[in-house]
Amino acid sequence: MKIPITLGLLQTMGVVVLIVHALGNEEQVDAALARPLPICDQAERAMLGGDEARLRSVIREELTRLQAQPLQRARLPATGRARKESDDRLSQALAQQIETYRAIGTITDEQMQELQTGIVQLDPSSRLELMSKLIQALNSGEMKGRL
Amino acid sequence: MRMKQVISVAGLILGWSAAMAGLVQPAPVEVTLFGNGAGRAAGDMVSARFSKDSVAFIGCGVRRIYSIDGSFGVFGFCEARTSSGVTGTCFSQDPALIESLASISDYSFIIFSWNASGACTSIGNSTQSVYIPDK
Repeated sequence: MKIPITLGLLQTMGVVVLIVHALGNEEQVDAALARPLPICDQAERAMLGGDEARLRSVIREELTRLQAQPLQRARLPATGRARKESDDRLSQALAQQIETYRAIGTITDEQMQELQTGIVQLDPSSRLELMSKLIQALNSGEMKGRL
Repeated sequence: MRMKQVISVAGLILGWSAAMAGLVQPAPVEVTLFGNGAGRAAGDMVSARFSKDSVAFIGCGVRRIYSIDGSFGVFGFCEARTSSGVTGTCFSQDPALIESLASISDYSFIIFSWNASGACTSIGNSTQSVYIPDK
């Protein structure tokens, strides 16, 4: 008779401990949400007003311009001067973009998607070069983000 | 006397339950960096997902992005991060490696390595009962 009573008491104590623990975690979450933005977020927002925003704008313009004439591009030989110059401009802008994110120390999912969309438009060797640059920045820990 | 019997029965029940669980062999994420940019990462999806921190992860994926010349740029990638924040990432345009990613599932163990350029040099996975979490 004593054993079921003891087990019942132990179970009740366990439930109480769990409830207290859960309430503690809830308070921690609330406190975390109330905290100010991390420094990296603030730095990123500050950078958005300068080089980073300008570079993103250049890349967008370049992509828009290229997408506006896909048929014409398809008719041109891949080694055409226009294509080469366009690729070079885009490649340089993307490389600078990676360097900017490296300096900031982080890259968001949206920025990563934008970068990849740009990189895919390049010729195979430039594509490889920039993907390597991106991966090296991630693996070195200088840029935090995900592919 | 009765107390001893109860304890013995409880012990037997617990022991039997444990024996029925089968072999469990979690593999937390590990990333080894070789110093020249190359490295290796391994771990199972379940251990990473239910890691006690909010840092560790492992996985692979494929990106197919429309290119303005009318084709799709395709590349595969794998990435992992340990609980202590060490990251390993690689990418590949090799069709065979990209194809191998399709066999990765929720309970897979994943292992991959990369060279100094960040290009994947191997991607492997293993889906076995030992990686399924205990009840």
